[in-house]
Amino acid sequence: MMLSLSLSLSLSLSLMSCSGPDPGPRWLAPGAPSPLRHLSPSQYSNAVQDLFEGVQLPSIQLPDDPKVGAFDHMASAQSPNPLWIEAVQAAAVRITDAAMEQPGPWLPCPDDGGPDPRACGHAVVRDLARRAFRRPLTPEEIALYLGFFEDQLAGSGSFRVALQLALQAILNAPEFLYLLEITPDPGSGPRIPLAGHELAARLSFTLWNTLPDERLLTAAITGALDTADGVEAEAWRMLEDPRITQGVLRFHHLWLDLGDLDESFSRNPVRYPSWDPSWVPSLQDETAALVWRVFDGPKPTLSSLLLDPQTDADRVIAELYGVAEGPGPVPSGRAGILTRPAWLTAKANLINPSPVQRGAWILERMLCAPPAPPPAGAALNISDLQLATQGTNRERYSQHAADPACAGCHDAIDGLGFGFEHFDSVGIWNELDGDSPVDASGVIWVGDLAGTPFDGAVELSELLAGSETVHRCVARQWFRYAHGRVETEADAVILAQLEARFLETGGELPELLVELVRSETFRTRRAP
Amino acid sequence: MEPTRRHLLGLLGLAGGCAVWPLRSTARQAPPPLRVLFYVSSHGTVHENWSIRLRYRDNQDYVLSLGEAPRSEFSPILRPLWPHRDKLVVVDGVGYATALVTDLLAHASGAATCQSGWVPREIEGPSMVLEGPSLDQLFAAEQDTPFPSLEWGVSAGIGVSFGPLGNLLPQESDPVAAWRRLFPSATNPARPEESRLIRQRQGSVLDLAADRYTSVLPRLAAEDRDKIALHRDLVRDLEVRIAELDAIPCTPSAQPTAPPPPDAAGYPDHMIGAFLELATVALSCDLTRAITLRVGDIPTATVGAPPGDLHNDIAHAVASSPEAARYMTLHHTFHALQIAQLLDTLDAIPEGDGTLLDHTIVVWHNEISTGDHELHTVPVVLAGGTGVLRTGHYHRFAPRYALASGSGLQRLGQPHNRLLNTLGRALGLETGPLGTREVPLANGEMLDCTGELPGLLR
Repeated sequence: MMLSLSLSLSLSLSLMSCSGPDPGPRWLAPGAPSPLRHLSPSQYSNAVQDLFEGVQLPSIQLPDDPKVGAFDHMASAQSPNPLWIEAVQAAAVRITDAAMEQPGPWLPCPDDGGPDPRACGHAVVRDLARRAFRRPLTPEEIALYLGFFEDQLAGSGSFRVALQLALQAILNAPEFLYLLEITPDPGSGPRIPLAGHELAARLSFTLWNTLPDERLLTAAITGALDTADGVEAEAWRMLEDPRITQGVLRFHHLWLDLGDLDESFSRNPVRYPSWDPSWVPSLQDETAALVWRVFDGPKPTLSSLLLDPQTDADRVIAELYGVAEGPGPVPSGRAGILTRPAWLTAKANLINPSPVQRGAWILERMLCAPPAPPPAGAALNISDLQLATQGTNRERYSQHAADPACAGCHDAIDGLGFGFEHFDSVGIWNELDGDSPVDASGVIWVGDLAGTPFDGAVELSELLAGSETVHRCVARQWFRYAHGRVETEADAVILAQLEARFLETGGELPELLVELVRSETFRTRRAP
Repeated sequence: MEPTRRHLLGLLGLAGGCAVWPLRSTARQAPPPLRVLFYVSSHGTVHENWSIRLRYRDNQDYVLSLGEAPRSEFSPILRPLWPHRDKLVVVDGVGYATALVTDLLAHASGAATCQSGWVPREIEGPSMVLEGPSLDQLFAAEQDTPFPSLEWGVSAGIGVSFGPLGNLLPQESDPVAAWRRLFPSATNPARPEESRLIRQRQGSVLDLAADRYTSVLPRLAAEDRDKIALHRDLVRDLEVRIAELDAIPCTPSAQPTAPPPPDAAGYPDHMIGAFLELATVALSCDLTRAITLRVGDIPTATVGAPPGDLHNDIAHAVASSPEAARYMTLHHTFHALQIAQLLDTLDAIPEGDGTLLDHTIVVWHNEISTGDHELHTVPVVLAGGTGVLRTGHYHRFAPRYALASGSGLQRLGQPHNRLLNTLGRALGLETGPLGTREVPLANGEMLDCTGELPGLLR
């Protein structure tokens, strides 16, 4: 495995073209498909908020699509269904109703239409459709939506009603809800360059998790996105925009499974009498702040994410750490994202921490080697309530994995997960498990560090931070996030380039994102 | 995709905002329509407390008449259903052959196949796709009710309903939101006339939207066309539904009240009760004929166990801990009590020459066989549907077919696809065998999954 990784690395280095003049189209094979995606619930919420800037919108939560790996916007798991369609229709009614109650910059006239309701309605419909569809409308589309507004105005006799209905039609349209990539291409190659506006949408939903802004829409029209260098220039601008927080935090929220923590998240009240679901935002915010501090800081690397020693403790975090509120270093035994209460709590059972959940997450999300699930009928008696077994948490898990049928996977899973044994199910550090000192030693069995022992979560974080396998895997997670699909064999070359660039820059995350969006795969689609 | 009947109605202008829909009270329909309600609990069962077995006949198939059985002969878990024994069919011995042949997590593969019969395919991580829809959706597609089907969930169980493209359908998990869907009201109470006009004209909005989906269809890659065509058809369905809902005379049930906290002992009873009350109204008003209620992990407090995680702490320990087996027995009995209450309610509503229960097949089943991830003997109880089901019987299918799994041989009496095929025919489907047609046995021969279970239908 190591050999093939090295080979692909040298191959990719020879193929790299990260700087210098754009070599132009050179794809020879059709490559992987770019399956049609619709906006995820969070993309939808961000987009409608952008469309009605300044309006206090009702909370809209469209139904989630099933996750594929970490991510909730993957084409293969998305399929139209009655509940979603109805939620979209109902959301459009509620959103336009709220907007109409709060006339602001989006409405250039009084809410009765003022002296020229037709002109005002036309202006609003044109502008909102252009921004929602992420491109200028065709004359036919303009005629269609303006005609609809006029019909509704005539039929209802109410400007307010007609405008809401016309805007609802836009919010129900495929051009808004889907990332349509269908512009005809005069060429005959196996891959088609995306039209500027299609690429702008890919860029904005990847980097910002929302609609393009005016500058990006303009860049799409002027041809500034027609080259890799043009895309790169735009990407660097987007990385400087405040909206980048939205995209970067969304990726990490999903990747770290922080969505598993919600307002109903419970812990065992006997073991954790002070646990309160209202702690959840504190936990999530601390990790989000870490991610953003690293990304926005002088060394925005994967290694920093794993090792950053700072916190800005609010009351809850201060209590969990046993420190004073405010900014400062985390207590000893802790480092970056994997030693913070958010991830540690999300990956734990109600009473005891789960080395299985923690280890399996690292295997899947940081080493890209997801373990197989337990076979049907496998013994699963790891009970927190000790209905079946006694001993320390580690002893109970070790007994469980002693079965040869289980050891094959659990050596690798638990070998990683045991590193976090000091941290209980709400992420508090403990020296003892019952009456016994905690044993947080472990061994990594997968990737370039296979066979490496470690003691505790900080040592493990340091090892992961220096691992080539981990860097390749995180690049792969970002690829999936950006493309809304799992990679195929046809992506091997592009992935190798991406991974090589990530390694070459010492794991710089902004560089990774720029390399990702300037790649041919990101800028093209397979010919139908 | 062929236009649906709803679509045609839409094209004919019958689905517009001002259409007057004919009354569709089921009392006027003769005979009343047949419905199906799937109640899908979790973690299999505790077989020694669920099954009703004859001694020394473990290796034989048999059928017991439930009508004459005294209450004491019912197993502890099934005992709450004893008053309805004449309207029950208990199926003991079907197994998920189509899940056993995968190496996917048993909960996920069992959930994917339990209403579909397909061997599931994992995309990556927990998501599954199938080659086609589940039984409830095949049935739903044949109905002309406002809602083809309703999918509800309590405590986030893994979904079991799959749409026409083989993708998992989302569940509505908030009874109030589910109630609002069935009984929509004005968006803006401060402007009732405006709200009324906007609702009345949703048909036009959706009509324009549907046209837009049609217009982009030809420009899409072939693999994407199905999604957009389906979206278009669902928009047309919604157009019809809005008009229908405004025209159907159905007295709304009271808005569900706020539930206790999700870890409170009374939470599942409140939530399941709220959904089953909605189900009763939706079925009796013919708002839908296919409902799936999926129940995931209920709080340990509900079964009197110490605070913990029902799945990890208790269900997984059933084979090794008598205490865990006792708690899980209480867990499955809790569900039997919910089913019994549902049957009481449905059987108290007169309809045609019988009751609503006589025209509803209630299916209580599960994504798995036991708490420790067995898949070979899934507990299944059917109730109602007395015009098509030969009720009042307990069917035992002794272990017969051996399949290889990661933990050794698993023996099942009948592939559960045959149960789905039987239900499909009971529901009037003419689609032929459901799901995957055959799977490999441990001996290398193929297990034929077509055909039906003997003796279940009239």
